[in-house]
Amino acid sequence: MTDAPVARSTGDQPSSPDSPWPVAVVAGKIKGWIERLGTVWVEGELAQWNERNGAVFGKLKDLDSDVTLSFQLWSSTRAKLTEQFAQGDHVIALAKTEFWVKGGTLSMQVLSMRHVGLGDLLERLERLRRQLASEGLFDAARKKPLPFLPGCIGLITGKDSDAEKDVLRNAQLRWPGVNFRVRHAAVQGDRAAADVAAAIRELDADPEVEVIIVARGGGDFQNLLAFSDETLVRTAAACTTPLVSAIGHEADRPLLDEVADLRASTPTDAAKRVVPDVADELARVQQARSRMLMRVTGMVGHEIERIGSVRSRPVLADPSRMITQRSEEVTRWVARGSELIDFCIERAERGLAEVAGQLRALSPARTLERGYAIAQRADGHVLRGVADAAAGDRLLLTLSDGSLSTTVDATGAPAEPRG
Amino acid sequence: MSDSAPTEVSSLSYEEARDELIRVVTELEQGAATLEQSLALWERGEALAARCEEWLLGAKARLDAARAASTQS
Repeated sequence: MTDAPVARSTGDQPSSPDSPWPVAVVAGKIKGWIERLGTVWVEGELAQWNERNGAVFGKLKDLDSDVTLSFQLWSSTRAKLTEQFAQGDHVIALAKTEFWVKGGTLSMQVLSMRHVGLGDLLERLERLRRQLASEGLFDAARKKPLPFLPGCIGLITGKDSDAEKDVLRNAQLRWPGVNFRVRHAAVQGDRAAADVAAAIRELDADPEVEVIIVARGGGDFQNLLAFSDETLVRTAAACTTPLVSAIGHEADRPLLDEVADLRASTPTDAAKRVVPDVADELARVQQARSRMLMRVTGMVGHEIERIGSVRSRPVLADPSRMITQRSEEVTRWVARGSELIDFCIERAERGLAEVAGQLRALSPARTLERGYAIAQRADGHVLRGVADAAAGDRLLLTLSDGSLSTTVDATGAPAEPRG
Repeated sequence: MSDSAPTEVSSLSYEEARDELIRVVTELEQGAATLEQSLALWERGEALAARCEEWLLGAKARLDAARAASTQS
């Protein structure tokens, strides 16, 4: 090993242990070779799609083998792209391969990118969706209300399809009297869009048809493309009869769904939305009716009770009380009157007897009965003392049972009055 | 109660008859009227009560008829 540095090779000579190429030279050579590739169109799947400050850093994977390349997309380039991208998309890109000498990394600078195949279709569809939306064809204000009970339902569907059976059976279950006008049309393939559009125009022109159902059983994206056809979608939008789309689908909604007045998830769902359940409706009417009757019956019952209670109040229930009360009063007063009279008479009698007794006690007859006599002069003067009579006077003596005539023989001295 | 001639009971609505009936009963219960007035009040009350019952029975009959008709259909 020599300590002296070897002379720096410029890469013009082949490298050797004595004259190795510096890293910069090797990197420069690699860069030169890689850039000789120029710009290429490359096809692959987006294995990674990271956005950072408007730029995108991603990985493009080979469709068949496990080969991956990194790429970047500057924000200025990205702004020019008309399509939206996401991981998993199948794309083709115009890319310039570059080698970054500073980090020794290989990268592709994408100058343009677009979807391939299905992605392309989806993109076209998305553009149409945006276009129709900007024209206002999807506006909620454009949606026509469905008739409550359609007189005649126009049905556009594949001949003998499950979708047809589903719609008819479910509608008839709900309302046996339902009336259909079925117009068969191709619901897949090249003719489908034109065929369905013609059917819509035909049923729209029929004055009896009050609602139109476009029904198709499930299908994948490719099968349902016809229902996103611009002519068909514009025909549906122009249709004056309320239109129901009943396209069974998984992820992506066909554009017909957007312009339809009502979007049903399946043909069965369409039948349910378009035809009212008659039994349901009848039950609802019945319910309203019984509630009404209950309410009125309640009111009348309440009033009957109220009048009954007024009626049972004593003044109305027993009007004779009005009379008996008063007649009782009269009887009471009469009784009281006669009682009072009786009392007065009794009292008078008692007084009389007393007076009579007194009278009797005071009568001289009682004194005479005890043996006393009344002496009267001939002039009727009653003698009260010996001085009242003189000898020879004639006196009348009254006894208890009669009188005697006598003559005074002599008069005595008056007796000493007793103390 | 006003002294003017009372309205013919048959021309009263149910509510008018009911409210007057309640007034009459209250007045009778207060017992301030003379016997003659009381009797007149009572007769009025009877007529009003009869009118109310006639109304209610008619309403009930109509309800029953409607119910019978709805269960038949």
